[in-house]
Amino acid sequence: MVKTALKVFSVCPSAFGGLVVQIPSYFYRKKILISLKTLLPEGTVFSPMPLGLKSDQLHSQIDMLDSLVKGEHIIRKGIFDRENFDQLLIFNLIKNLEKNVSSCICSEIDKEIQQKSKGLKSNFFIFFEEKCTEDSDEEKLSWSIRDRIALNLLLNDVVDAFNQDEISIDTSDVLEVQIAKKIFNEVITEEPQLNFLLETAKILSVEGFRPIFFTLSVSRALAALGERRIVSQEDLELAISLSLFPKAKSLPDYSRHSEEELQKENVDNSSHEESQDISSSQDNTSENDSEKQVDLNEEKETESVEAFLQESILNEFLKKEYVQRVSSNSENGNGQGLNESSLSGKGYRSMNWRPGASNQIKIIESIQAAIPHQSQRIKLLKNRKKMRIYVLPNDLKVVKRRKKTRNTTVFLVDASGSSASRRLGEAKGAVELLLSQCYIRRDEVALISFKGKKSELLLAPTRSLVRAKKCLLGLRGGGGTPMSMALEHAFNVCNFEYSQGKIPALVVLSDGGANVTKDGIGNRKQAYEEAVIIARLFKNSGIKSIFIDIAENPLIQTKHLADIVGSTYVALPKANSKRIVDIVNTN
Amino acid sequence: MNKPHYPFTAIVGQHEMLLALQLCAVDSLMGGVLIMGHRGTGKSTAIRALTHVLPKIRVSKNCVFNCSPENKEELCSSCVKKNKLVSEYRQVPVVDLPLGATEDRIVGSLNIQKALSEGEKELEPGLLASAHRGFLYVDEINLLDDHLVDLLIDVSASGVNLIERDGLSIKHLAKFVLVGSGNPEEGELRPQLLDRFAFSVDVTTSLVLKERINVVKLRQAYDDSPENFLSNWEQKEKKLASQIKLAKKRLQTVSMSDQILEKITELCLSLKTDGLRGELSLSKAARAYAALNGKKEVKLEHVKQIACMSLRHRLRRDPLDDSNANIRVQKVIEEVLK
Repeated sequence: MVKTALKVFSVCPSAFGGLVVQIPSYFYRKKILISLKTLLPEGTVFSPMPLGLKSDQLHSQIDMLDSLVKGEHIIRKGIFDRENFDQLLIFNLIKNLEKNVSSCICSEIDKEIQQKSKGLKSNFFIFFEEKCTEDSDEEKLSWSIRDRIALNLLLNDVVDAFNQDEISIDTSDVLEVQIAKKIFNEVITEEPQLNFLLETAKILSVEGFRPIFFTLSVSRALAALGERRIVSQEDLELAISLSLFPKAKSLPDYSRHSEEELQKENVDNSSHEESQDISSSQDNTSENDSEKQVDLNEEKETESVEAFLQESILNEFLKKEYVQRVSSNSENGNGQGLNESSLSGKGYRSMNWRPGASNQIKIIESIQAAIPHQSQRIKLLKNRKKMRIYVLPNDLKVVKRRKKTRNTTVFLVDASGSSASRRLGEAKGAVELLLSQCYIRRDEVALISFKGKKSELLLAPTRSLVRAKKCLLGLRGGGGTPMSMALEHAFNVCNFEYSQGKIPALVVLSDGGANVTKDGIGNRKQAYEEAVIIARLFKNSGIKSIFIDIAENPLIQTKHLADIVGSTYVALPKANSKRIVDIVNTN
Repeated sequence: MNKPHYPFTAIVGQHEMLLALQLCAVDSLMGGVLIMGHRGTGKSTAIRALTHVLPKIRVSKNCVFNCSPENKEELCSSCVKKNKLVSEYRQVPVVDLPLGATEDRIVGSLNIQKALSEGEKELEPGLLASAHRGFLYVDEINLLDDHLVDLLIDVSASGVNLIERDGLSIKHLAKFVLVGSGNPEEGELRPQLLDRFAFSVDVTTSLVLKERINVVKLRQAYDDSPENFLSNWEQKEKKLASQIKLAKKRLQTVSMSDQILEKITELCLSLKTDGLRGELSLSKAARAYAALNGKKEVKLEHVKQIACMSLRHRLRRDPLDDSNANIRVQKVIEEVLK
């Protein structure tokens, strides 16, 4: 599989844009590159890309330092137009790719594919994603790039190929590619194959047409490699697995299966809910007893209910939190929630030039800085070429930029049986209220829910509130309360956000009844102790948080836990009372 | 050696998007188009293709600001100095605004090369200058940094780019059709910017198999031999080109009765749109649509056709409410424009 993909790529690199390869370790990378080197035409330059690549290194621009030294303007060539030959750009650690770098890459790929210019050099890309398992989402290439790359090699295929030693390339392979190159443009696809491809694309709910066009090209390349002029069914199937599957949004077999399950669950749940509703309306106290026997498998759906949470409380929390944040920032001399960096944001003043950084130069300020030293420099530098003003590198001033720091609010929602049976609906209502607050402040939101034996990141930090709401609606309740696990998870998410230059805030909605330990064992006492340990981490890190208790009868323990986390504790006022008032009024 | 472009008329489906782009081409002062939806649905293809259909613009020779020689009052500083303006014809520009572009790149800044080698103070024009009289295309506009969004709002509203930086003090025209695209799942657009767009269209990958097959077949034919493909579509392209050309001429003469205007206002009132931009852009769009259809007067039918896409994004909306704004607008349109 891997070998075939490499061969397909070599047939016409500019038609495919590049490769995305998932690899478990560095060692694999080397071997793949060696194989590619033998396949690609001689003279192709392999350029590994450094970490922390900046977008202005990609395109040509003026080299400030050289220009000053030599007194004439000198252009430094960007990575994209550096070589006179075809160039393969090698990217590792894609996680660190900046937003503007990836948009530059996208436009470069578009250019290559649109023009398909003959005789001119072109750039293509290979991205390595280092992954431990197929599911782990440690490294993610942005979708806009992924969408523009034809060939995707998944982890399992790569590992299999290595295990069976199917990676080394010999002369017969090279010959095959050379023949294929000649006939690639003559290969045609027949009607039934086309229909088959589109049906498959529909089933996989592939977005847009790019993947489909890519699959067609790949299948043509495959046919060309087999020295056929017509694409066969096998070619197409292989092409689909190479370039269509990785972009699928739903897999047919799984989805059908899970849909059935879902329906079954729905039926179960609705019956559960009904019975629960009746029992809750009859007697509220009996549920307190049932809390002790937590059924780990029970799940139920809860509609979001209007929570009777005073908006003022939330407003106050958010305001307070903001004030605290500002004050903590000013200690570092950073000012009001602004993040200073020389890379992006709005320029606001100049600072001394730092070599290597990609900075916009401020000419006037630089010259002003040089003027006081002129008389001295004329004497010192009289051997050099005569200039009106001698400017030395340490006079140079560049733009100092600043950017508003974004906040990320992480919602930790307890979906365990104990809260689900009662007030998950209200909790959802409360989160919705908070979400609209976040919208006003243009915060990012993340959603973590926990129940049973695990906590789950339902929504990675995003600015799309519609998605947050959708996630929330789909949240089902049931199972134990793995509080320690959830807090740890939230802590990691918060920390990651912090490392990305955002300011995290945590909102916990729970009834606090920790009863599942980190190992997934039901043990109330140990679970609580574990939760306390992790809660201390929060306090030490200074992450601002709010703890909304959604228990019917708030426990003192919960308040205690909230204090350890260092959060503002709010017991969600009873909505029931409001509902009752409403009912009375309507009657 | 560039490959010939993909013809505009050969784009399958996406009628709303194509129509919105055509209307903007007819009346370039209308505002812009916001295209939200899936990747790979032919957004940038459509914009690029459209410029080949549009008549070439007359530009003062070598002018970086795309100055029009006919408009003597609004020439840039370098064109004013010239005694006699020589004009040349250029294709309508399409300028890409990349996500990571800096302020200097967009607005323009001191030309360092000139400053260093010749000691001259000159502006290095930014993207806004090159987009004048053309299209400014921002992909993933919902991910654009806030301070760049502010810039866009300001310039697109005033049509003038004011530069006060690096010791430069220059003002030049920057009237362009702003075309934004993005995936709504990745984040929302600021309401202020949303308001500037004349049209908002949703694009999705077609689910009709026949249409999809058609797309792939056309694309294949184009890939195999772009020149042949283009000549096959030439007639249609020419037809569209003349249609747009005529519409542009006719635009000033298209009349609109008070009754129609009343209906438009009623429509906006019942949808509770903020401000008056809804009415303004809808009436402008209706005139452009009538002109495009070769009519001299705006009919109710015209308003009906385009009301949805020009009002859809103007509803006052709860950010959490993901209910389809389409349905709401359609309903009101049905009620008001019976």
